[in-house]
Amino acid sequence: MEVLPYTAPELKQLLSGKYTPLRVISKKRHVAHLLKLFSPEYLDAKTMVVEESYINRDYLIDYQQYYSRCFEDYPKACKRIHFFNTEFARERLVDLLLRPEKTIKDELQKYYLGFIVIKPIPTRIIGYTLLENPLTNAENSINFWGTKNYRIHFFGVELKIHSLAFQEQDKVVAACATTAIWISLNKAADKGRVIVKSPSEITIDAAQSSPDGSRLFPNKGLSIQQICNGFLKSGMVSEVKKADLPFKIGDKQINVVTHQYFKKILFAYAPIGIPILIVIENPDSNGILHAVAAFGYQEDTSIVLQDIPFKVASDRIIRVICHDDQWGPYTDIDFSVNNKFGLTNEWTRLTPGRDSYIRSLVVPLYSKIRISYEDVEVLIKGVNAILRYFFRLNSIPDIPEWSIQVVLSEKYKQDIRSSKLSDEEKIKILTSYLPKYLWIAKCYLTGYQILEFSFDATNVANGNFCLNISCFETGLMHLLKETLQNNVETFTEFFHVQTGQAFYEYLLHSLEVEVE
Amino acid sequence: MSNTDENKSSLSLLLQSKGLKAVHVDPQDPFLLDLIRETQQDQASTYDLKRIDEEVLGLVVQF
Repeated sequence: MEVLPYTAPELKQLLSGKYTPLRVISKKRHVAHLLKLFSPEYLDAKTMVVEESYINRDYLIDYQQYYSRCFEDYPKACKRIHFFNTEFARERLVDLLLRPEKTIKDELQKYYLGFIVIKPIPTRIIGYTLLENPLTNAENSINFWGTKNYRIHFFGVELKIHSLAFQEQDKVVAACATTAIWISLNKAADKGRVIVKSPSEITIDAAQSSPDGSRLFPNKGLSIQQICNGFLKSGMVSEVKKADLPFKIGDKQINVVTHQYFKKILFAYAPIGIPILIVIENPDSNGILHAVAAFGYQEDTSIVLQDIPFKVASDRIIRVICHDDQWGPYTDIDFSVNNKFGLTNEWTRLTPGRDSYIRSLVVPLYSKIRISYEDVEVLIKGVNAILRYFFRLNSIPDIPEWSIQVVLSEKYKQDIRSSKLSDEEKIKILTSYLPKYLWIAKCYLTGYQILEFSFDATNVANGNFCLNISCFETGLMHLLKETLQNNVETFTEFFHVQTGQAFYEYLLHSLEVEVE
Repeated sequence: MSNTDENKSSLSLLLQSKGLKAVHVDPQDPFLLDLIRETQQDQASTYDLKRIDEEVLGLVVQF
């Protein structure tokens, strides 16, 4: 064990090794990013504690799979560096370690910033990394939906950290796609239904060969189909989201995901808490795609949304937080103001004036969530049209705003308990028999919630899967009901989609509208 | 968005000031016909997003 004051040169020295000299370390993007995270502006690291020999499960399996069979004698053990934001020397730590565990915890926990595992391989050295969230204190408006509590064993003392595991691709057993899957699985495994695997195991699960038909290792990346296989073999399913806008870059026609669709998907699936894979085309990449794992977003609740026909709360997302294995943990994505699809990220900061684009999204899910966001949105768009028409005829200029999210039914019931519904309606919902996952669509007018639809997310999208409709404004509800009663046939036109008629019948039935 | 008393008051004021009433729709109302066409097109576009073809599944993520 070694205890050192934190300085940039000292950290670089620790990161370097037999296969990765200091000059290489100094040029690594990750090192510049880590130095930023450890600066006084963020984590303010003061002391490093080094475990010279540390067995890391992920590297051990990758070592067995590939490195142990190289002629070069790569070591099996890694190095682990712990970071603290208080100053202490080795003597102080030695003295502490001999005291009761509670005393040590009390002394160390509040200063603990996490650790980095250093792999003894060439260049791609950043292994399993858990760092305290550098953005929590400064920016409370960020919703970190993809983080969790980790327990860390520090010389026999259990410390805790709330974070999301990170590591960089080694370009041998894993490229960025595998690493993004690994990050996502790391969170999903929290509930014990998903298996956490090492990068090499994920790559083997995902594919038999590289997408170009050549050998799997050294890995040349994964196709979207192979990414889905990777999740499937670990006990999850995936929903692939495709680009919703054709776009021309120079002579090339590509399809890109718009800001609005991207934000809708993040907002919709965030409550499940699993990081979402973003497939990005960065500037100067020659069309080669990159994957990052998104696990947080920042909303600006002061934004007044434009009156577009289908207004969604997710449009208030102004920034997305990701682990980008080519840069480091806690990188951000901002939205270009020049168009409705460009992004700025670490990559575009290297090429000012040029944007990155999203080409696809992969949403990993628990298999019980079978109804997709789009299945719910088409139905809600029908309700939205009826409301817009009703408000227009009543000279109300406001357009309804919608929030659509998939949630655990236990969370839904918690929210219902503190809602403004009547006690009778609350008890009806709280005592009802519900599936594990629900899609909840909330409708707001002038900032006040007027309606709430709950849908069975575990059902099939062939019939009605709406379970309940709650109204927060009874006077308005009576008028809406009467309006529906007067125009049953005409409003059918808003539900000419698969499952639309079944939903419309349920809507009429639940509002006790008589149908001839 | 939150259901604050302030938001509730603002909604109540709006609804009262407009003297809301149930409506009978004229099926030939141009606004209604536009709204139906616009909504149906929008719903079709949303459904189209669910059609994932080989081109999407074949995108290679390798950097």
